[in-house]
Amino acid sequence: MSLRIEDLSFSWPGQPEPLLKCPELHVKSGEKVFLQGASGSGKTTLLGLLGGVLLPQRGQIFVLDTPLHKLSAPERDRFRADHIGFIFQMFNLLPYLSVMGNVLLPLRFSREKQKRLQREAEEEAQRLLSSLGLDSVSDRQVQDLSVGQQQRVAAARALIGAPELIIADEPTSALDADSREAFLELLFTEISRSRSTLIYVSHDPGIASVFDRNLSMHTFHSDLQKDPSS
Amino acid sequence: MKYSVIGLSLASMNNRRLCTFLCMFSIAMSVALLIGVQRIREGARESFNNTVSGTDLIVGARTGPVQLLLYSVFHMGNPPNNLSWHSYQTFSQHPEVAWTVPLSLGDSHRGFRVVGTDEQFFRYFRYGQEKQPEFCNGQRFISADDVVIGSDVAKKFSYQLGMKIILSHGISDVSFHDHDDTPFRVSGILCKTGTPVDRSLFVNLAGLDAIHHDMDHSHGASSGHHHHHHDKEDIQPSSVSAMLIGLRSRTTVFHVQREINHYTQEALTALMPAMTLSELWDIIGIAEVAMFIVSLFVVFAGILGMLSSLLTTLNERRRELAIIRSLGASPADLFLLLLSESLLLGLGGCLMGMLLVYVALWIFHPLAESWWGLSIPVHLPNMTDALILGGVLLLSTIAGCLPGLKAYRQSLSDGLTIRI
Ligand SMILES: Nc1ncnc2c1ncn2[C@@H]1O[C@H](COP(=O)(O)OP(=O)(O)OP(=O)(O)O)[C@@H](O)[C@H]1O
Ligand SMILES: [Mg+2]
Repeated sequence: MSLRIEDLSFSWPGQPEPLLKCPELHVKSGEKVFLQGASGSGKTTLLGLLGGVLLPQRGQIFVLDTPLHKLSAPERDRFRADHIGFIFQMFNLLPYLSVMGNVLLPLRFSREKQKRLQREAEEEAQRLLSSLGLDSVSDRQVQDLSVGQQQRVAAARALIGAPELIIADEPTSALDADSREAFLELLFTEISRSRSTLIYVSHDPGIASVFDRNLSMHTFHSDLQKDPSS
Repeated sequence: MKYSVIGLSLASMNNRRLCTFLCMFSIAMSVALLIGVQRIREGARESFNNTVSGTDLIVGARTGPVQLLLYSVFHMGNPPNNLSWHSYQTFSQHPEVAWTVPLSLGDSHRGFRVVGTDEQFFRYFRYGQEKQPEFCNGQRFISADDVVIGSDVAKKFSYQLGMKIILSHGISDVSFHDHDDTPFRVSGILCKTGTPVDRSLFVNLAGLDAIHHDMDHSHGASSGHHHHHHDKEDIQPSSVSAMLIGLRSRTTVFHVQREINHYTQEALTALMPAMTLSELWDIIGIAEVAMFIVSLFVVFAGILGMLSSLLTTLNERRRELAIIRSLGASPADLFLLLLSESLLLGLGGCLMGMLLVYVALWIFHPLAESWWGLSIPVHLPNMTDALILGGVLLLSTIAGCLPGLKAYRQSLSDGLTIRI
């Protein structure tokens, strides 16, 4: 099991009603899940919970069978560094590093990801960039790339070190339809290769069909069961 | 992890090169100023304390040591009383005394003091590190109407060797007692010493007495005729303002000092120059402390400048910090990232500041020596410098905690939301 959520409830400080409520959710290893929800429905917040950056007020989150809610803050940071790759909506890259520097960045934070490399780090980065259609850009400054190219670099960064879970937060929302499809295709090829699980959130239902499973943010707005103690 | 964070802050600083450089430079300037002021203080104190060196005792009529030092060495104020020629003679023949130099003050030339002395002055007077006043031109006075002038005097009035100048009695610029009838001939011009010697004129004691004699005469015989022709060499001074004493052995200095202070025939004061000079420095040294405090504030300003620029960029870097956070950095790592940036800025500023100090010393050391006779010490960084640099590093570290803490709190409240 890659992901298991039970009895979850989360609200930001000052919010009267919980933003996210989810009695139960299971995601199998290697599944590619599409999670659709309107703007403001709490998609990014949910990903923060899965990444261990946020803690729920109530409930349990198991990622790769690890109970995130039981880990200390540094343990959750370590876990995120070792097992998860993130892709964000836009401006994913650090402007002061080269393309190569950006792709190699997660390895600086995780020995685990370094160990999973099957070849030299740079070779692997180059391979990922090539397979994502970015053969000749590795020494370029990231500002010089188009938005679509930048998102593919971000994908390469999420994929390096083959983390078990890839979390993508609307990575294609700034792309046109053609490059969106091309991006997804390349991403899927690489994810199948590393057999990672993918959680992909977007407000755009148009791409849902290519995923193994579709979820709606409504799943996270359902009422919880009564607290067993009461 | 920690290592990677420092690497990132280096890359990020390199990306904001101009800002980084300006920050470092403003710290460097303030560090250079502080250390420079420190060096000048050292140099000024050193050269002040060496206004007279090699002289073991200065003796004058009974008065406070600081006052005696002021009029005998700095030519400021007037001797309350003179020292009789008899006492002068007695102590110059004292068995422990190696040499004595008489000083007779109270006359001036266009605002500069005239010092009556004898050839012993040029043989024994020392300043700085046992340096002897040197002649840039000419030589010491030989006849009673020769005058040796200090470098500032020569420069101010463009006096040349052989020129005739008029000395006047009293110390005001406009004297009623100019004596056109006793002109003195410039026989020598001294080189710059950076001491009151530069602002003085030296005449033979006998010559000085001749002026006074002449004057007394003309006033006393206001209705009669004037005697213009004295045999100046014949005149014995009746008293002098002060005397410098060099001892055969330093170890007897306290003994001789006590003996002079308890001399029964005349009330006298003997002082040890080094001691009284540093006493005097403690009084006038307030200015240097003020200078030091001002430069401390400049350092604070430099660090505050760095702080404000770090805090400003922090908003632009919120996205960057969220990305780093998603890669597994903890809020503590982000704190460390910003802390290391200000530490690196402080470190760079310190190194650059030291470089500036040595470049400035290299340029200004010879100039300060020739302009003000001030020798600024050139040496490797010493304990004081280390303290200053350590203090600046500490301050920039403390300052760095503020943006660090802000980044820490931001990263906790933002989660993975990337804010623009
Ligand atoms: N750091 C935060 N502090 C407080 N409230 C927050 C924070 N981040 C998000 N929220 C609130 O939580 C709600 C959901 O925000 P979130 O960013 O998760 O939505 P989203 O589904 O990702 O939206 P979008 O599609 O626009 O990215 C919003 O109402 C927002 O105001
Ligand atoms: Mg979002």
